[in-house]
Amino acid sequence: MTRARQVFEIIDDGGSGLDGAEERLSPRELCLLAGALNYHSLVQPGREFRAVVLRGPNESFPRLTGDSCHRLEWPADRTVVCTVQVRSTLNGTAPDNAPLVPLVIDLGGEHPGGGTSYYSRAGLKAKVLRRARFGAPVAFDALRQGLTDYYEKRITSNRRPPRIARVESAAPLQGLAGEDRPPAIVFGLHWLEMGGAERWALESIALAKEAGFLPIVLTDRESSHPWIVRPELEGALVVPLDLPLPGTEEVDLLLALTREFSVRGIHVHHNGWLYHRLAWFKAMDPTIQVADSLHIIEWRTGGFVEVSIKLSNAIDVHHVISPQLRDYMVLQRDIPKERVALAPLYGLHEAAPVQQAKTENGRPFTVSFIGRLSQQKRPYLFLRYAHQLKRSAGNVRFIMHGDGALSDEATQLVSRYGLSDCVEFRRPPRAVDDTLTESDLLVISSDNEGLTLTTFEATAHDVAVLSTDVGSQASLVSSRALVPRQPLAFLKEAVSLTKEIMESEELREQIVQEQREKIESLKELPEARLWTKKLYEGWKA
Amino acid sequence: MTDKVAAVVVTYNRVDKLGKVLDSILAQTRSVDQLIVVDNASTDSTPQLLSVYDDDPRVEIVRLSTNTGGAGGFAAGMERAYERGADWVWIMDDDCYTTETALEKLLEGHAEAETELGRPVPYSCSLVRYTDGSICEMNNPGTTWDWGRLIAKGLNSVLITNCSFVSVLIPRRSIAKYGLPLVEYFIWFDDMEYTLRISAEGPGVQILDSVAVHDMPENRGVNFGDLNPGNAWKFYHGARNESSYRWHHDDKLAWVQFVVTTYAWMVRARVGRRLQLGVAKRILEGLKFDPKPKMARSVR
Repeated sequence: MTRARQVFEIIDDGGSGLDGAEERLSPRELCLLAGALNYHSLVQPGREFRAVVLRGPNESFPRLTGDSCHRLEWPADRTVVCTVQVRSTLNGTAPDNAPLVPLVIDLGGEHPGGGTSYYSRAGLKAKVLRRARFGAPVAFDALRQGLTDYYEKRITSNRRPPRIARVESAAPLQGLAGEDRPPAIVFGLHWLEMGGAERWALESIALAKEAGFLPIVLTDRESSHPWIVRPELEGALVVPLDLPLPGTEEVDLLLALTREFSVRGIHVHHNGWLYHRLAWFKAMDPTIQVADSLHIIEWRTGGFVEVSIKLSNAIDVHHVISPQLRDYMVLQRDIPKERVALAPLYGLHEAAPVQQAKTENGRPFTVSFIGRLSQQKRPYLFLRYAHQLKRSAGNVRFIMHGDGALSDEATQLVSRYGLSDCVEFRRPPRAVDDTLTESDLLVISSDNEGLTLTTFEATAHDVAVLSTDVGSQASLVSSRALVPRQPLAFLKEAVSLTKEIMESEELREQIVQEQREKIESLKELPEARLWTKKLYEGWKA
Repeated sequence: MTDKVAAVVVTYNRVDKLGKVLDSILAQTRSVDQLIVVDNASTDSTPQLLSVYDDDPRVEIVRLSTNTGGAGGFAAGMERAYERGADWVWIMDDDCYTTETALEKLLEGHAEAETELGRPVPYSCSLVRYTDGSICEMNNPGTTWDWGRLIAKGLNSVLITNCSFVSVLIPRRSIAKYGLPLVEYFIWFDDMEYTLRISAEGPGVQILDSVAVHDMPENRGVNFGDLNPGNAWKFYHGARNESSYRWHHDDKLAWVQFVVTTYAWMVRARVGRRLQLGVAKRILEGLKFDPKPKMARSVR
C-alpha cells in the first residue's frame, strides 16, 4: 500500500496491493502505479478507469503518462501483472453513464539509475565516441576539459539569450478562491533517484509538509524512480510524467492543479518542463510565488542555470547553494541581487566532530574517493592518479566508496593498472563514516561540483581534502589543496601534493585546519533548510 | 543588507606615511568593513607599525614573501577582498591620505552616476590633490570626449577613460567579469591597463567631491624625458607594459604613436644612447609579452 496522496478511489484493486491487501507489486511499483492513476484522475476528473498494469524487463523505464497509456497493445517483453479499476475523486463533467476509460500502465523494470547514457545509445557516432571514451578515458577527458575551458571562457558567460518578459498585469483567476482547497506547493524534480539535487528536493518537500502544505511532486525525466518510496513523499501527490503529454492533457493537468488545489508556490529543483510553464502559472495567478534551487553551472550546456536565467522574470527568487553561483547570477548575468538568495546546504548532513581512529602502527597512508562512480566524478582519473602515486610513493592504500554507471570501468582499470592489492571497493549501504575514519586524505577528482557535502564530512573526521578547483570548492577546501580540473595537470599536481602530505603530517593538519576555518566562515551565511522554512512560511499568507 | 566595502592598501618600505594613511581610512564617515594591508615584503619597520592594528578586527595584514610590485600587491589585496565577500574594493597607495568623507562621496557619486547613465559603472575614483591643495600632477585621469555629460545633469562627476590606483572604488562586478590587475606588469601602467580593461562596457567616473591627498616628494608628472640610470628599471617596466598593451589590446596605430612620443621625450631631454636602447629593447619585448589576467574565486 502506498502512503502517497491519491486523487482516486479504488473500485477493484485487482490484487495489485493498492488497497493494502495482497501485493503483487513491489512498494516502488505500487507508488508508480498510484502516480500514474493520479495523473489520469487529474486530466480526466470524475472518470472511471480500468488499467492493465504491465511489468517490463530490467533496465526498461516505466511509461505512466504518455501516448502508450492509451494504446491497447504492448511490446512482447512486457507481462501483465494485474488489472485495476479506480475512479477519479475530483469533480469532473463526466456524465453518470460515461464509459470506462481503458488505460495501459507500464511500470517498467528495475534500473540502476542515471537515465540513458549518451554512450549507450545506438548509432555510429555513439559507437565511435564509446570506443574513444572507454579506450583512452584520460586522453578523452583531456579533450572534454579543453572544450569545457572554451565554453567557460568564451561562450557560456557571454551568452545573452532573450529573457522572458515579466508578467505585469495579470489578475488571479476568478472563482478559485474556495478556502476548502488544500494549500499546495508544486515541486519540479528531474527524477526520483539518488543525487545531490534530489536529496535537497526531498528535504524541501518534507519542509513543505511541516509548514502545512500539500506537496505536488512532478518529475519530467524517464527513470524507474527508486526514491519514490522515500518517507518524505508520504502524503505528497506524486505525478511522474513521461513527456510529451498527449493531446490536450498538458492543459488539462495544469488546469486541474490550479482548480483542485490552492497553489501558493512553486519550487523548481531540476525540471525543465515545469520551468517552461512558470510564466503560465504566473499569468494565471500572479500571487503564486516561484522559487528555484540551483546547484552547479554546467559550462558546456548551460544546464538548469541557463534555463533559470532565461526564465528569471517568471521566478521570484533563485536559491543558490554556493557563492560561485551567486556571483555568476548577479555579477555575470545581471540578475538583480535581491532576487538571488545564497543559502548553502551545509546543514543537511551535519556531522559532529569525530574522534579520528588512532592510526595503527604501520597502517599505510590511506587515500579515499567517495561518491557516485559517474562521469562527473571521474573515477577513472582517480585510478590513474592512484596508479601514478603508487608507482612513485610506495606504501599507500586506496578506498573507492560508491557505486554507479562506471563501476565496471573502475573494476577493469584497477586490474589494468595493477592496483588490485591496494584498492578496496566499498559500496552503499556501507557507511561513509567507516571509510573516512580510516582515511588520511580524500581526493575529489570531479570535473564539476557545487559545494561537496563529503568535504564537510571529511573535515569532521579530520581528513584532509584535495580537490579539483571547480564550482565553489574554493569555499571549503584549502587553497593549497586545490588542483586544476584538466586531467594531465590534475595528475601532476595531485600526485606531487599527495607526496608532500604523506611526508608531512604538519602540512596535512594545516590543510584540515584551513578547511575548518572556511567551513566556519561559510556557516555565517543562512543555511538552506532554515532559509527554505522561512520562505514557505511566507507563502502561507 | 548593507554592502561590504574592503579598502586595500599596498605598502613597501613607507613606514613614515603608512600609519597616517591607515588612520585616515579607518576614520571615514562611512566606515570600511575591512582594511586589507598588503605588505610587499617591506624591509623597514613596517611589520612593527602594522602590529599596532592587531586589535582592530577590520584590519587584515597580507604579508607577501617577495616584493611583487604595485601590480602584484593590488592583485593580491583585491583577490583577498573578493574572496572575503567584499561588494566594493577601495584601493590606494601607501602615501595617499583620504579625507574623511572620501568613501561616502565615492559610494554616493557612483550610485548617482549609474542611475543617470542607466548602466553599471566599472569604477569611480577620487579627485587627488597634492599636499599643498593643488591638483596632483601624477594622478589626473584621462577623460572621455563627453566628460561633462554628468555635470550637465547636475552631478559633481566627470566621465573618465582611465586612472591611477589612488583612491579607486571598484565594484565586485568588475572584478568578477574582468579579473585582477596583471601581476606580471610589476609596476607602471598596471593601473592604466586595469581601468581600461574593466571599462569595456563604458567609462568610469571621477567623483569630484571625494578627495584624497597624495603625499609625493614633489608634485610633478613623469615622462620618458626623466629617464636616468637610477630610475631606468622603472621606466623599462613602463616601456614593456605600455608597448604590450598598445600592441595586443589597443590598435597598432596607438602603438606607433606611443613609440614616437616616447622617443620624442627622450630625444628632447637628451637621454643617453644606452638608456634609449634599453627602452627600445623593452618596447620590443612588449610585442611578445601578453600576460592574461587571473580571475578571482568566489569563496564566500
